This record gives sequence, structure tokens and C-alpha cells, in this order.
Amino acid sequence: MASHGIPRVSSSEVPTEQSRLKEAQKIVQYRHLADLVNHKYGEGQLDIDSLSLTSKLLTKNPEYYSIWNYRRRILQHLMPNSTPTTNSYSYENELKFLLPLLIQFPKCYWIWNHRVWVLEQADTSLPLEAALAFWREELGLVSKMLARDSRNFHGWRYRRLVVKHLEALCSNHDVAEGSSLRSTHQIVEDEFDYTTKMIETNLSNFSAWHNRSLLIPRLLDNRQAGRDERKVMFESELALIHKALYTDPYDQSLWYYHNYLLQHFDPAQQQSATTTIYSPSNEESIHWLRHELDLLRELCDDEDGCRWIYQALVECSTIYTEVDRDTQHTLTRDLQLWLQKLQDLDPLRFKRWKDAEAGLLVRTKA
Amino acid sequence: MSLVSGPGRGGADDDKLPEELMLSVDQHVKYIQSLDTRKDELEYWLTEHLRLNGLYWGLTALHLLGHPEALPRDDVLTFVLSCMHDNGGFGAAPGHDAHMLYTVSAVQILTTLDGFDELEQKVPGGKAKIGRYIANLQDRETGAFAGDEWGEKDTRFLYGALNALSLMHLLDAVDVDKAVHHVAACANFDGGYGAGPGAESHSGQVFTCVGALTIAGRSDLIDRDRLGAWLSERQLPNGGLNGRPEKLEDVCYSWWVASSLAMIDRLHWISADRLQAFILKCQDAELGGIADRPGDAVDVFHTVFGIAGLSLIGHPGLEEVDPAYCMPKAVTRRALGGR
Repeated sequence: MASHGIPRVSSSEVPTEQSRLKEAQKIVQYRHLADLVNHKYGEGQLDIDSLSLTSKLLTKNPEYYSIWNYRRRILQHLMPNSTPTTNSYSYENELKFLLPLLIQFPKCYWIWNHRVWVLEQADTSLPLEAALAFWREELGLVSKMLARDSRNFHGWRYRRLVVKHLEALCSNHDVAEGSSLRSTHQIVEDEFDYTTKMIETNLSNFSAWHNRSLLIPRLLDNRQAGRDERKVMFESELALIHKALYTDPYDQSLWYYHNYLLQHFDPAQQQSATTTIYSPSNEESIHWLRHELDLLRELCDDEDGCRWIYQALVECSTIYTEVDRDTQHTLTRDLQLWLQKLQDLDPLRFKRWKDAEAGLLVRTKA
Repeated sequence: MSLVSGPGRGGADDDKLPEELMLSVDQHVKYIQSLDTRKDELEYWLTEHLRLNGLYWGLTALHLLGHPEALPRDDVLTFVLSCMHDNGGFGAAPGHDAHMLYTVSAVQILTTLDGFDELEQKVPGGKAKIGRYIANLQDRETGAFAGDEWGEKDTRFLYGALNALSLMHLLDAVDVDKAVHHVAACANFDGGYGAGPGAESHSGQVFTCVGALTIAGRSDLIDRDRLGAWLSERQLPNGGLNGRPEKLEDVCYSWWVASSLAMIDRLHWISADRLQAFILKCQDAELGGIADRPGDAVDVFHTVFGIAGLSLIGHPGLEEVDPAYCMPKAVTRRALGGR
């Protein structure tokens, strides 16, 4: 009912008698299976045979959320009594069952949810090391999923959840020598490296840039970094984004991250420890902003038709006039020119730039 | 059904518009009416888990198209009530488990059809029961909402809860301040919102968060210029809107993005003409229905969000839509009183 990217079948194509019969047969089979499973659900049957039937139905239709609920009830019943006999069913079995479904239906909420539920069960009923092994394998799995589709929304969300969980498990237990437990700090460092790897593979991966913006402040906190170390990190992020912008100034993912870094100079922006890499002094902000403006003007000379550069010039100089009020007179004329340029270059958002221009006039009069 | 619908192209009396800018109203009405008769297609059975949502999508589209009577009211109400569980929640169809997503659709349909009297007749105290079902899904520590007893949390469910409870005048049953606090924690540096704290900005989640804050009367917490900028960047040269940076356009984002822009008074920051042309290119003018992109298969989900998007940007002949609820403004005005 909510189909995405499926080509429309021509309306002149009347189904043949054969294809109609085939469809009817499939419907009968599907409905028979669905009725059978629902009947067992209604009767409260929680045995291994019912589990197999839910597998069969969910493989045909993983969106059938009630059947996932039924499956969890069966598992709740089976798991605690699970013994290594032929009838036993383990967490491994369940995770293995889910894997091909996830690969086939990577955007199905219910499968991801169910996987989280299974792992949480493992948490409460298995020894720490065993539970941890499951969670750590999930990182490998989600890396594979993200290698197939590097922007999968569910995949990134799942990744953050797994990491958060691993951190909680690690911080609640002392890390023994040679243990598979890694320290909380190491997990954050590894995740940071993972975003670097993803960005190096494809600069345009905004999901990776987003995650990076969350990881750096945590990583610095973990390292108990002082001002110097924070400043170094901030400068290296600026250098990284500059290099990326020179490679592709038309990629909006990069400009969003650039904007995130610019926000560090903005006195109007509420600085919170969870989102900030470094808190520059006024002098430092002025120094960096000047450098930024020079660099953007230079980029402009090479790529005159790129609206993103003008947007950044507007953003950058607006912050500059906030930080150093004396620059207002010199920059206002430039700002006006850039906003007019944006009205030409970006007709879709013409009124946004008109509004910005009107706002500028009000501010300069005030 | 004695609905007057003619042969030929829809929107024939819209003679002020060039043909490619005409919405095929009659075809869309017929398409929606036909949805429940397609039992000879496997797809019909595979999508049973969306039945109640589908009814809300279809009914809302018909109301916006100016054909509120095109689905028989009694049949719709009977079906909706047959999906209700003793705990006050609704499933997707009879025999399906209760979940927030379907409970919200049920409340929206009951509101649109003014059917709460019928609910009380069948289930005395039914409205209060629904309210309790929803309220029990709130995490009183964080303010977030779960979808059902299994505990998945997402701003979609929080929005749904505030949507349904406000329509029933039962917002007092939950901790609105905590819910608002939770939504505020989902804001990102780019001005957008995600499915939870730390989750990447996504137009669909932006709609749920901005909608929740609007319903709670706390849109003052939104950084309108930053969010407006991010949302306006969703429009692509072909006029369509995408859900995240560097992704493809899709008709459903015509709703998620444009309604969010409308709620923060920035709808004029995108080109309405170009968006309109894109949505109309996605319709099947012959058999009705709207697809995600031109040439793709149509479905009722993209049909309603395409039509709602057109309503928002003032396409002629459509009923006005409420950006916070995705329901006809006349309906929310009646239900909420003078909104």
C-alpha cells in the first residue's frame, strides 16, 4: 500500500487467465498460512511448531507486526527452558533467522525491533561475556549492512543503539585483561574512526558526518581533553572539511558539517558541552572567521555558479558581524550582494533570500 | 453508490489551468473507492497490516478532494470499531494486535466522521478507554512514547499520541511538558529533528516533532530560520522534495516537508509552482492514484500525501488541510473548537 520505486504496470496490460489463476493460488496459500498461524495465536499455542509457522509467514510478509508479537510470546516461553536437546532453540538461531530478512527488507522497522528485543533477552538471561559477544557481533553486522547502503536510516540508528548498549555493559563492569570487553572510551574512539572511514569512502555521506558531530564531544570528554587538545581537534576538523569542500563544493552534506563548525563562533548559539568541540575566545573566532571568509571568496572565484559558497559567505559574515560589531559597515554591502546573487542562483528558494535581505536591512538600520 | 463521476479526464471544470496542471479528481475518487475491491490481488492480503491506516489515508484524501461521501460512513465506522481491543487500542484490521499507529488512525477517522457517539454506543466509555491506552504508553521518566507494549520508542508515536489525545480533548492524561522536553532533545545542529535524541534529521521525523510541538503550543522552541533553511534545501531542481540531504525526491515528502514549513510560517521558502508540477506528474491521470515518482506504481499513501501537499500550497478546488494533523481544517476546527 506504500510502494516506493516500483514501476507502474501499463494499464493496457490485461492479466492473462494463467497469471490470474496463479495469483489466486498464491492468495489461497498465503491466507491458509495466515489463518493457521492466527488460529494458533488465538489458542495460545507456544510450541516450536508454531514458531516454525511464524517463520514461514514472516518470511513471506515481514510487515505482519502481530505475528512478530506472537513470535516473541513463543520465544519468551521457549527460551528460559532451552536446553541443548534437539528441541532447543537458541538466541543464535533467532539471530540467524533474522539476518536474511534484514538483508532482503532493510527498511522494515519490525525486523530491526525484533532483533533488538532478542539481544535484550540475551542480556538478561546469559552471562555477561556471552551477551557481550552477541552485541559485538552486531557491530560487524551493521557495518556490513551500511556497506550495502551507506545511508540506511535504520542501520545508523541501530548502530548508535548497539554502541550505547555496549558502552552501558562496559561501564557497569571492570574490564579484565584479555577480556572481550573493550573500554567505553575505546568504543567511542572506534566509532569515530568508523565515521572517518565512511567519509573517506564517500564524502557525501551525511549520516556519517552527523554521527561524527555527536562522537567528537564525547571522545574529547572521555580523553579529558584540555583546551589545547580540543583546539587541535577543532582545527583538524576544519582542515578536513576544507579539503572536502575543495573536492566537491556542490555537495550539501559537506556544507551542513561546515555550518556545524561555524556555529562554534556564533555568540548567539547556545553552547552546550554535548555538541561543542571547542569554545574559541573572541580573538580566536575573529581570526578563524577572517580565514574562513578569505577561503570562501577564493572558492567563489573558481566556482562562481555554486550557490552553496554564497550561502556559507552569508552565514559566515553574519556571525562575523555578531562577534565583531565594527565589521558591520564593511560587510553589509557584501552581504547584500551575496543575497542578491543567491536570488539569481537559487530561484527555488527566491523568497528565502528575499526574507534574508529584508532582515539584513532591518538589522543595519537598528 | 450514486457518486457522479464522469468518463474522461478529471478536474474538467478547472478550465483555468493547463491540462498538465489538472488534478484528476474523479479518477482519484474512483481509485480510492476501488481499493477494498481488489481482493483478487495478493498485494491486498499482504497489506492487511495497513488497513486502518489505509482507510484514514483514503478518507482524508476524499475529504480534501471534496468528496467526503464517497465511502459509506456506516461501513467505515463499523470497520473501525471492529478493530478495537478491550484495552482501548486498535489493530490494523480485525484480529491484528493493538498499536499506537492504528489507534491514532482510528481516532482521526472517528473525528473526521464525527463518530464518537457510535463509539460510545458500541463501547460505553470508549473514548476514555482509548485515552488510557495511549496514556499508558508514555514513559513517565523521559516523556517519550512507545508504539505498544513491546516498547519501541520513536517520535512518530509521541506525535501520534498528542494528535489523537488533543482531538479527544484528553491531553491532560499525559505529561505534555515531559513530552515537549523529549522532542526538544531530538533537535540536531542542522535545525532538524530525528526519531530520538542523537538520531539524524529526517523530514518525516521533523513533521512529527514540529507537529507535536505545535499541538502542545510550544513551537516557540523551534529554531525557525535554521529548520526552515534545512527544510527548504529539501526541494530539488525537479520540484520534488527529499527526506534527507543527497537523497531522491518522493511525493510523500511533499507533505512532511511542506507541512513543517507551513507550521513554522516558512512555506514560501520553496517554490510552490514547481512542487505542484512535480506532484501532478506523479498522478496516474487515467486510472487515478499518485505514486512516489513519475512512472511508478500508485498507492493510497502517496495519493493522500500528494493531495494534502497540493492543498497546502493552495491548488484550486481542494479543501484546506490542517498542517499539524493532516486532516481537513474544517474537521479539526470543529473538533478542537476555533483553532
